[in-house]
Amino acid sequence: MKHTDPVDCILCRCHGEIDGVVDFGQLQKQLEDDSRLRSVSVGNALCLDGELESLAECAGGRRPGKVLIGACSFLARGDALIAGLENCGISRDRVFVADIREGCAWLHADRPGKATRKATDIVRMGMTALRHREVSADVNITVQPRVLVIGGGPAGMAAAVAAGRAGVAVDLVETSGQLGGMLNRLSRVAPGDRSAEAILTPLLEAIQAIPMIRVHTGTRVSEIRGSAGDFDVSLASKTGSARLSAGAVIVATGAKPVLPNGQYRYGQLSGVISGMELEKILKVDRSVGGNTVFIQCADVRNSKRPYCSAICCPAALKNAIRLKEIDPGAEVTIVHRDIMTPGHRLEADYRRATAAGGCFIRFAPENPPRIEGDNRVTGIRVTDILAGRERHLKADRVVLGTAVEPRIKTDRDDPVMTAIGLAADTHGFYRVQPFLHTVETDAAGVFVCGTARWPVMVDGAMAQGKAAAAKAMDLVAHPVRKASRLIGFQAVRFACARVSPTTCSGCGNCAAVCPYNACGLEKTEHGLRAAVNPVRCMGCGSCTAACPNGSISLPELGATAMVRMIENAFTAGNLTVSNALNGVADRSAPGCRDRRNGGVVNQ
Amino acid sequence: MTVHSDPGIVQNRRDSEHGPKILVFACRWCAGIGADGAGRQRLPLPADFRVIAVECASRIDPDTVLKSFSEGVDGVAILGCHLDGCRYNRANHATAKRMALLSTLLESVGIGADRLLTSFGTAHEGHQFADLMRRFYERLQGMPQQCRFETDPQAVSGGGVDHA
Repeated sequence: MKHTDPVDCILCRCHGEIDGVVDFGQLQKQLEDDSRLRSVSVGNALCLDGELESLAECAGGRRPGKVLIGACSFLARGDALIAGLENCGISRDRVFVADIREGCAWLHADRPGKATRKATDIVRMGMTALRHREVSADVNITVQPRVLVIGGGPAGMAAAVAAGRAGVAVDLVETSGQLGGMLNRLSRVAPGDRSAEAILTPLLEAIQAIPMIRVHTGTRVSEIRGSAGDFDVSLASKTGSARLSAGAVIVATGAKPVLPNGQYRYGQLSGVISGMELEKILKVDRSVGGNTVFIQCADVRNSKRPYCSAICCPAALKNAIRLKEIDPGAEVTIVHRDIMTPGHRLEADYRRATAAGGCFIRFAPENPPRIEGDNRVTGIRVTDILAGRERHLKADRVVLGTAVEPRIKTDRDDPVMTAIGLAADTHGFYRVQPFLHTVETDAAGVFVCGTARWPVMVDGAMAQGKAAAAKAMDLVAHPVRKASRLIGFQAVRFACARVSPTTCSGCGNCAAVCPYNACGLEKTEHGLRAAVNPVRCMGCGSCTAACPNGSISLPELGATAMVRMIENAFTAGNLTVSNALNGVADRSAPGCRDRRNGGVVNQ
Repeated sequence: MTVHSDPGIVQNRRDSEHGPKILVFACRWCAGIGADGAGRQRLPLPADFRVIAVECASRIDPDTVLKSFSEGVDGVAILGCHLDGCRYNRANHATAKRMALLSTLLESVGIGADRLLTSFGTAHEGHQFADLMRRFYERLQGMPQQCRFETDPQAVSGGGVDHA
């Protein structure tokens, strides 16, 4: 496509919605005077009744050109217009919809004169954007039909089993010596009263029974290179290293429990234990007696960790019920800020704990409970904010609810994950795309499930693992994929950055600013030059803004298109300017960085 | 820097038909949808603004803003998603820094930092976009009109490199 390709303009009246405000006679006259447009025609309700098709035939019948539509916004019916023209054989790269309804007529119904001028400008800006729009290169990816699952906890195992059952080859990598993750350390599993083995055994049996699943225990992922469809993975273990390829990566690395050091005299006074230690005791010793106090929200929901860990309240309820069952005479008290039990199954646990005789006391975060005891804990003092008085509780054991925290603090802490474009949120949990994408991350081909994403209970982790497996299978099911179609939140990628190797100075600004690590420096015979990974690039344009000499650009919205749009933004009723733009002189105004094109005539 | 404005000019400006010209660079995901929402709700707005939808606010470089001012635009608005809510990972954090730096530059060259509006997170709903536009319009009404900078074709372009 060249910028000199003829442009045909079609304006939509939209049953008076647009031409009731905008003076179409004047608009049409101004546009017909513009030598950059080959024809200007007016239709009514282009989105209905095959009107568009007849106009498209008029436009496409002659020398193939580009089509500029002045109608409603892309979000209203603009996308339907583009799809309609695509059906008539006009590629969507050659179509631009300028929004003169939502963006003009509906906003300025009280000022018809100004609205007409604005509509002219909007159509002209659309025209310049269309004239200077180029098409990004697209590459085909040969997809490796394997899935790498990092982390052998419930989420990772569920993902591996789901993908393996569907016949996809899976590599399940676990750093510790055995699969199971947190399930290995729990006595019973909430909600309900299930043993960890009841959940773990079917998963382990399935993994053993499916030959498509290769398990690598005692192994860590030392490096991942490449991008969606073709990741090159290096594994390291005590016995040696290995390499494998994978089409998709499922990250199920989980989180780590918070040890509440320094809080509530933990680590200093015997008898103050963490929730995980109680799990360990309950796993081996089935006759634990004595009074127990649970203190919730230990070192979480504060300024350091401003989130709820979601798993500590269910864990405390489950253990309270268990302690009451073992020793009905013992006093079990849960001292909490709020009890978080969403859903009917956790609510049932709460009711069971209450019915079993568990006592609940609420404290204020600014006035936390005080631990008493000299050599060993004897009790706690707490201000009950509901009763409004101080309580003294005797306790043989104080259990601090164990929150979880992410394995990393920022993106930079984890070079392996950063290299594949995985980003962390403000807390350090891996970020997924907003809204309806539960397991898809910003990096194509990388999925996150389980507690690595956000604190979640075992059932939720397994459900997320299956979801991640489904998304990964969707990716690896096709032997060849187009890079531009790999992005979750866009049906089609907007653009892919393009480097001009002759002008690139290799400064590395683009590599520093790229939010997806798509830009990098490569050694060439002339020295370092920027190179764009066409799979990772999502087309945001950060690199074009950081490039000091305009060597990297988005073909869909290049520097020339941007400058011409700015120049045409306020030209209606100012004929000298628009004529100047039609003229032959290349106005290399300050700010126009596209000088590498040389003397571009006829903008 | 204070903007030295002649009260007469400002009064003229308020009476004249041509209000301040605003060029809005709106990210397609938040502010672009907000601008669209304002249209759907038919919120009355001053007509002298034009929206250029970009894929992400991080596409906007200082040159683009300066080019807009050199074309005689009175105010430039850069509207993006919430910091931390960018569709492109953390791309708009770079824009925030870049525009903060640019506004000091605008002060020192005499255009004035008040003419650049950078907003993240607002304007993703129609009424927020409209409110932002109205307030920016009012702010610019109190300032003198920008003139268009003509380029001298004989002048050395490219940052004043002297080839002599």
